[in-house]
Amino acid sequence: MHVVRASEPSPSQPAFRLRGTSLSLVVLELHETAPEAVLPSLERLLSKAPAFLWQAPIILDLASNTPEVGAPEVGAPEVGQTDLARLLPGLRRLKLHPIGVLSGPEGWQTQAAALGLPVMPRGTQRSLPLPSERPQQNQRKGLDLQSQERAAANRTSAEPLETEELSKPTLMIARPVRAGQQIYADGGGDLIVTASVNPGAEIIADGHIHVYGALKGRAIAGARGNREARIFALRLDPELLAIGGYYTMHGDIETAVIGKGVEVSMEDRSFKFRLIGQ
Amino acid sequence: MATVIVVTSGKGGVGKTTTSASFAAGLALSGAKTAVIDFDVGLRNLDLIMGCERRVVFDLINVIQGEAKLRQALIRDKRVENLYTLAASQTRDKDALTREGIGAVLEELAEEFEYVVCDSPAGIEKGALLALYYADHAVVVTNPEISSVRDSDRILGVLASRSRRAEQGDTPVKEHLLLTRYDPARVSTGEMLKVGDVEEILAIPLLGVIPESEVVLRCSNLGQPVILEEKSNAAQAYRDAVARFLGQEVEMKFLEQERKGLLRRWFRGAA
Ligand SMILES: Nc1ncnc2c1ncn2[C@@H]1O[C@H](COP(=O)(O)OP(=O)(O)O)[C@@H](O)[C@H]1O
Ligand SMILES: [Mg+2]
Repeated sequence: MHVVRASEPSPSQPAFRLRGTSLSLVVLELHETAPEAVLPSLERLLSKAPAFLWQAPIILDLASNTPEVGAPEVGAPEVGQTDLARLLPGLRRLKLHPIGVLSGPEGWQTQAAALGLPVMPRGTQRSLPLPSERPQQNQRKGLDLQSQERAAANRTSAEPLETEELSKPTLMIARPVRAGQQIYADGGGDLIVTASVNPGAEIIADGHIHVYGALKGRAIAGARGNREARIFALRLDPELLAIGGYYTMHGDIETAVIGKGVEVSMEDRSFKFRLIGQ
Repeated sequence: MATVIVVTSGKGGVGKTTTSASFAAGLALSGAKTAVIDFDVGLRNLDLIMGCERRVVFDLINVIQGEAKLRQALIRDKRVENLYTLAASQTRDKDALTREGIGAVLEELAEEFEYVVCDSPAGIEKGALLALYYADHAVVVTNPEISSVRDSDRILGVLASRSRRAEQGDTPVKEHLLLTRYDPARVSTGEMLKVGDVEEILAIPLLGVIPESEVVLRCSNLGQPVILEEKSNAAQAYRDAVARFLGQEVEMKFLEQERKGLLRRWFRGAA
């Protein structure tokens, strides 16, 4: 998806700048739209890995096998206004933030628009041109954010897209993370702690987690579902580890790696522990 | 400006009040005018340990609510010069404690006193938050057992985020670890955590280790800060901790189990 964000004002520069960026976001694909059908199982899923998707922005999509989708001519689909309107508060209660819907049947889009949710075009993995501070490009590329086709038509092979990789700021913590404290490196970033993570503390990152000290609390990497995320610790002795929504508890970790320098990764939905720094 | 020291722990019954009384007395003995304030509204017992419970006319809440002047509520110690106690109320509601009220009391104390020691209630709720809010130093009282260490860890997190210094982005509250009720015999059997284990988890400088001692209980029944008990190990350990706080280098004592020789057994003095 695309966001336009103003950069920090500074005396010597204009107050803002428009940039294109591409973020990877979680899509909640609905096979049913009634909150009664969706929320209980979603809540169960989230309670298993509490920090998985915690405070995550999500996009709602009607599953393609839902009959209404792809057959809009049949008439307004049965996405009752009440369904979507009722679903939103439920999702927010689960600490999810619906920020838009993927394009779908007309009724679906109308409901979304009525609720203030933008409708996003499908399959926009590549960035669309956005107005930039360079005037010629503004003129050449146009300002249409709605239509992928129009934007694509504006592109020429000689003209590189003004895309920008998602910046992934690393969060550095140089003090012990103490019982009752929670630290979350969001925005896709990694988390580096150059001290210990104590029992009763929780550290979360959308990316990787590095602990240059003892990891005795809870560590949740790939908090938005990235199973490629890893956890590194100088002394691994955690209460809980989670990667990409899967978790394991202290008692399930091989005792041979406890207290050692360890790299934790996820392979075929199971945790792999590798000694490092031997 | 007075230096404000909070004695805190998260957990109850670890020795905060015992420490507040002895620490304040030790600072006063060094010649600095010192006030010790009980923040444990409803459960006041600092005045018992200080031996002034029969002399409490006005308390902290009377002062905050303007029912008494600070001067009227400060109880001067009968044994130690420069030492004053401000009692908590036993009967009033905790809600009478306000941040502004405490700020005003501390400001007024600062005109006359060099040190103000705040005896925190247990927990991490309102009373404890108010006791630590204005602190420049925190003496974190911890017993060598897991639950106490965990609670101290929590309170350290609170100090780093909810104190005035934290809120205003000032230099952080200076943290000191005081390990109390340390029993080397039970440490060697593994029943209790070693000093090093506690230091490693809490990762703050060690101010002192106070041994478990039956003299502590005897002194509280007498209404006397244990630090005034000449021959006790616990008193010596408190004196050393105060000296370290004041910048002296003193080696740690009472970390090892005492070998009880025959002579010692016959002439067993105060523990
Ligand atoms: N070093 C010590 N040795 C033996 N008993 C102690 C020691 N320190 C404190 N105690 C005892 O522990 C109990 C709790 O102490 P107190 O100072 O009231 O703790 P808190 O203020 O943290 O609740 C009291 O009975 C006290 O006599
Ligand atoms: Mg107490």
